[in-house]
Amino acid sequence: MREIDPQSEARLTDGLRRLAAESPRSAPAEMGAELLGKFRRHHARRRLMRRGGTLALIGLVAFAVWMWRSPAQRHSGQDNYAKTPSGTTQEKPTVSPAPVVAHGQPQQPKALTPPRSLRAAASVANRAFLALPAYDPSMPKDDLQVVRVQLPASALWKIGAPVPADAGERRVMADFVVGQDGTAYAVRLVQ
Amino acid sequence: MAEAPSADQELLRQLAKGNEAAFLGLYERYQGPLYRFVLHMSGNTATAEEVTQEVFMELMKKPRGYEPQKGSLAGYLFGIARNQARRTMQRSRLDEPIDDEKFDHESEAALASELDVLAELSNAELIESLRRAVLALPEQYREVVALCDLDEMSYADAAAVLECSPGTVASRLHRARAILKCKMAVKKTSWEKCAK
Repeated sequence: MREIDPQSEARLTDGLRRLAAESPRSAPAEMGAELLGKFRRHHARRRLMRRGGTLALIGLVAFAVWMWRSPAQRHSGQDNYAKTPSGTTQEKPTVSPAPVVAHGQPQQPKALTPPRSLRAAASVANRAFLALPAYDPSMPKDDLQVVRVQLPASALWKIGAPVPADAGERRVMADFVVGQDGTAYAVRLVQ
Repeated sequence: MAEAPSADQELLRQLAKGNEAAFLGLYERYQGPLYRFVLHMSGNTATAEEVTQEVFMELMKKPRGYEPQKGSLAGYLFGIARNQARRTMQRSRLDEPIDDEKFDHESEAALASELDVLAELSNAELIESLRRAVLALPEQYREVVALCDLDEMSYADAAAVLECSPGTVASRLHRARAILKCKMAVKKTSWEKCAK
């Protein structure tokens, strides 16, 4: 291969230099403005997403903490409810507690709402017994006891209990104060 | 071509945080060389704009894509531009370089030495002829001409962009220039034939 003519080489270099000089020095100005707009939008979106992510994370952590504390609070609430003011623990309320037990139920703190069954029992316990014809005020109280029974409304009406005469055969729950011989002296309606 | 690498890295760090001034700083520094490089590679202003924009979009979206230990930011950006330009040109099928193997070394040298075409062409003709000749170069030669001759990049910087040695850049450039002269000579011959 022969050497290339140095003069020709110089002319080519000169030609390329002119070509470079003729070429635009930079991209169109509007491209810069457009890119800057895209840059702003991109970072605005990123900031928004980052804030959203942070908020979601905070929410998630708060929810997790609430979930973690919630069962503990429930247990703690139940414990408070079961405890008397003196600190002794009683049996948890049953579906149908005896009215005598309900009588001794201490007043619960206001923040705690007792179950509906217990509220109903307390309401029953607050009701007074209605004396029946066989009742004798002079008889000794120690011989008496309370018995809960369920009878047809018509039977209760017959013995003088305060039920409507037209209640028919509907079964009604009632507490009876009975003596040792089984004589009913007083009655109150439970249900 | 570029400022100190640490300055580039600091600007890139700020850019990642959403600093507009940093983005503009990098844009002002590199948009010109990148645009010209793609323009010389593709010969198409639309492609040059599209690719330049793509490069900065990439930088904007993935600023951590650049790894300083692998080279300069300039090299990284030119690398993206090079790949994007290649893809765009393949898509548009504008890239139809002449086959390098068609050139015979002896005829090439003979033509280059016998014909002094460049001296006879007017300035406008010369520039247009050269522009076409550059665009017709095979890609690997076009790249070195665009970087070293038209963008005035050093061999070392061009080597970093092209991921080869400075020696390879020098040899490719030598070969590219020989091809350019040959093309110009062929052009002169065909003109003379047309004139007759």
